[in-house]
Amino acid sequence: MAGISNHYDSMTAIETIIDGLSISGLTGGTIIQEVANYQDGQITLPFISISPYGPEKIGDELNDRDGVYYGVLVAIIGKPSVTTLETRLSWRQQIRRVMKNRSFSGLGQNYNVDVEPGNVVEPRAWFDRSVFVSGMVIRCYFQEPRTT
Amino acid sequence: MLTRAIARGLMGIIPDKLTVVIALNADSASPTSVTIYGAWLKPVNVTLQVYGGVNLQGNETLVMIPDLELNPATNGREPRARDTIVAEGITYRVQSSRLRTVDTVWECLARKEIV
Repeated sequence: MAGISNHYDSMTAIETIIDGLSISGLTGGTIIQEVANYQDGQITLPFISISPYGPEKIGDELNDRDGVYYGVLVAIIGKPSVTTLETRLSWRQQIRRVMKNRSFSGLGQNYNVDVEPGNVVEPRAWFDRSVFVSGMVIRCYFQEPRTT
Repeated sequence: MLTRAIARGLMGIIPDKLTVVIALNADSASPTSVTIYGAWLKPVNVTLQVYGGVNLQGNETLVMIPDLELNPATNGREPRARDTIVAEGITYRVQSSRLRTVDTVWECLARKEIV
């Protein structure tokens, strides 16, 4: 239900934006998860996991509004043998570009969205499981009214 | 005292032996595949592993390879990281390996390739 949680609404907004990119070859699509995870055979690869990340950050912004900055992890998970590195990096590039310095239409308290890049290729995942994991944190900036 | 001869003899009583194919990538420009008829597996850990905030199934497994089959003519082969072992249709990636039990068995720590 929209309007209850800014964090959740941010994740659905991110999902809508990424879906709008119509990324070619992303067989598993985008999935909102409570914790970013993949267990063998349960989701079609490659896919993009969208999940809450870390604690939210709190800032003082206005007398009657707090700044709340939510983290959303967007991670591409796929098998290197299925798509080329070039293709997978292009997915990451598209997502980064579309998310940098924007706001979510329909979310009135949101005024900016920024990208905090993670490892382009997670080396341990590549060595351990032969899997491509590429993540970035989308930081969603909100001004939320104070309640007394 | 455990000697190589005794250790090799004891391998005979290990149940559930498997035929596996190990592809040694690091030893040469092209992979060398060796079929091992008396390997055995020991699953050790299926807990999730975290990679950049993403949790993946661990599937840590010990694959035991008799050195006598890997190096029948003192070939000098050794499993190294990123080598693959295919057992029962499942591909495992070697993370590390060491020669154990009086230098008779390669104990390869491996993880299943993602499926």
